[in-house]
Amino acid sequence: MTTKDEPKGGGARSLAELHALGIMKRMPAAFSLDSTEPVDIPTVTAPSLDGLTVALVPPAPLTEQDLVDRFDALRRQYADRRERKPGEDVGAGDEVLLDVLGFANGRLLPFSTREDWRTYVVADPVLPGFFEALPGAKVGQSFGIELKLPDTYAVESLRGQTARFLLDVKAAQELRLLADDSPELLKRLRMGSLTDVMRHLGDELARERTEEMDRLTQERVMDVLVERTQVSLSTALVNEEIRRRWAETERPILARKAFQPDELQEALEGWQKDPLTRADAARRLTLALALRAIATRDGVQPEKKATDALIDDLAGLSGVARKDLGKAVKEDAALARRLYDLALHLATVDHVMKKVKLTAPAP
Amino acid sequence: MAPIRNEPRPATTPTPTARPTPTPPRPPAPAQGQADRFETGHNRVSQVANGAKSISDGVAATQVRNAPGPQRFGPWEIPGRANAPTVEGVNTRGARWAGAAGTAASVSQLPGAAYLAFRDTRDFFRNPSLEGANKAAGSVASAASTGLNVVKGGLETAGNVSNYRAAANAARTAFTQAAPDAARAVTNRVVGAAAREAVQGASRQVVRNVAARAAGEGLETAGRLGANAARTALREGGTAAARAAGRFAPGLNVAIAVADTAAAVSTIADPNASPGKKITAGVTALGSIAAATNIPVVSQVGAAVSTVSSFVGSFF
Repeated sequence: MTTKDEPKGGGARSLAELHALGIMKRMPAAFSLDSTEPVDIPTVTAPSLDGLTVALVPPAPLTEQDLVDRFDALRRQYADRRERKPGEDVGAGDEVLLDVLGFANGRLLPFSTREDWRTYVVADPVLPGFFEALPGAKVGQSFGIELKLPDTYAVESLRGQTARFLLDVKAAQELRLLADDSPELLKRLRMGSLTDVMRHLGDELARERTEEMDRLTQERVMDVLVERTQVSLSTALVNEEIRRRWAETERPILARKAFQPDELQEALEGWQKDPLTRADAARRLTLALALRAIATRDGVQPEKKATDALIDDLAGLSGVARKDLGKAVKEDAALARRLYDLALHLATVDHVMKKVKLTAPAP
Repeated sequence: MAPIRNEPRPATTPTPTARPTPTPPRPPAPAQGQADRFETGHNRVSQVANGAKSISDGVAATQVRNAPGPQRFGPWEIPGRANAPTVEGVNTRGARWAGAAGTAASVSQLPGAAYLAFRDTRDFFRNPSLEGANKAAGSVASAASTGLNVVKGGLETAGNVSNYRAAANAARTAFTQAAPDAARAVTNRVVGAAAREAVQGASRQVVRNVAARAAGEGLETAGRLGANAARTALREGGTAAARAAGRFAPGLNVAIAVADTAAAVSTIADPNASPGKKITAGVTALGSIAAATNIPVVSQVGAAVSTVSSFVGSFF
């Protein structure tokens, strides 16, 4: 059976085609690449930078345990390893490669999806029972875990709830750790004596603590900007922002797992209905609009030196030579725009930070 | 809630529909309609998945009993898996360990791989009783709260940033305090002494840096800070908070950064990914980790094409 379509198309369409068109019109947001509803991006007035004073965020204190933990991470990294064979049992302390889906309250648990997740089979109080359940699982096979989420679980509505995890144990390596003061370990670390290793790790931790302090302080400055920005964000805009992030990160994994449209929609809604995820998206949107307005008002442009450094960092992170990076950017307008957006954003953050008075951390 | 157990499969007679030579379960090919432009950057992962299938084949040859019949998972029969081959309960070791640790986990080994790609298996994990699978009203997080009600709608309507920050910090702190790295039972005395000495020197460095900032020395540039953070995240899988977010909790504002980083790691490690895809992944990870720059919606109204062209021309 066929029926006539609108004049523009000209041809007859089968019932199946019309049915498909009907489905597309009702296509859930999770299945659509572009916005499914009108999204108004508001304009904002650039917030004032006058009197910008922020207290430094004090760095977390360093402890001996931090150093020992870092040392243990090195011991795992330089341990003797053996790839477990398909069908072999996973052992305690192994490094495993997992795909994971989590479910609770009859729905996919937001942010539970993992693909090619490398982790250690070591008990973790955040999720009691999860890692404890892995020894004995067969490499190369699927595995199910059911556990009760602890009363200390960060998501209040899930405390005490039963959660179920469906895993693929894709690979596992047995680790044989070398003794703390083993000469072989020190030889592999190539950092000198044990004292030298600890000093090196201490320096590394001190640098990371300082960078963390700087980053968190910068975040506080951005918070002040957001507070000074008068803007009303529509629910549709926040939904669309979250949907795009979800579409770039989780949806491809779920599609590879052959998730059906209703399941995809359920997964998307899990992100969109999470309060902190919404608040975070709203903050990012507001901040981006505020920084853009500041850049326009103050005539900020990416600086050559900082942008050169950014491009070098990006080349290093991506493992792509700078020459190839330039070629790719010239050939891909969308990539060029993203790179420009990033450079301008960072330049504007630097512009703002130069106007800030930093004070000592509160006692 | 009854625990999931992989109970020994009861002796059953083959059903009339039993196939003579059952094969291990395999994932169905994703529907064509689901492939999209977001898929193209993940070729390597697909290859890994294919590798898993091969492993599954090898496992099946040694582990799966070629005895057709209803496949049971605890007291329930997994729908759609009838007549699939099955295995003996092999989870006793894990279950014993879990029990010894005072946890309430129940585990079950499934026969074969890639069960995550089966709709019926997923539905079963949603609700193994098969009753009320879709009755849970609202989403996991929206029906009640994330323990962070202060932010619920607040930022969108009132610009309540301090509440957002307090909530984000509370969530982060709860996780970082609860999830230390695996603590060792015994620390070698020599290691302990070296750690004590080194931590004093490192702490002095941090104190000096705090004093320098308060005295007016500027922070590192945002770009360099972000690059350093991204490098650490890519190398180590993230900070403590990011690792905690890896333990499946929604409501942490680092969760999306974790997802971005994971996607970036996957793409960058993919030998088949084009330079453009790797760079895009790098920009995403750097933006997400560095300063919340990854705002695709806002990017729609970004700079003029000529401005971008001029920018590109001046650096390449």
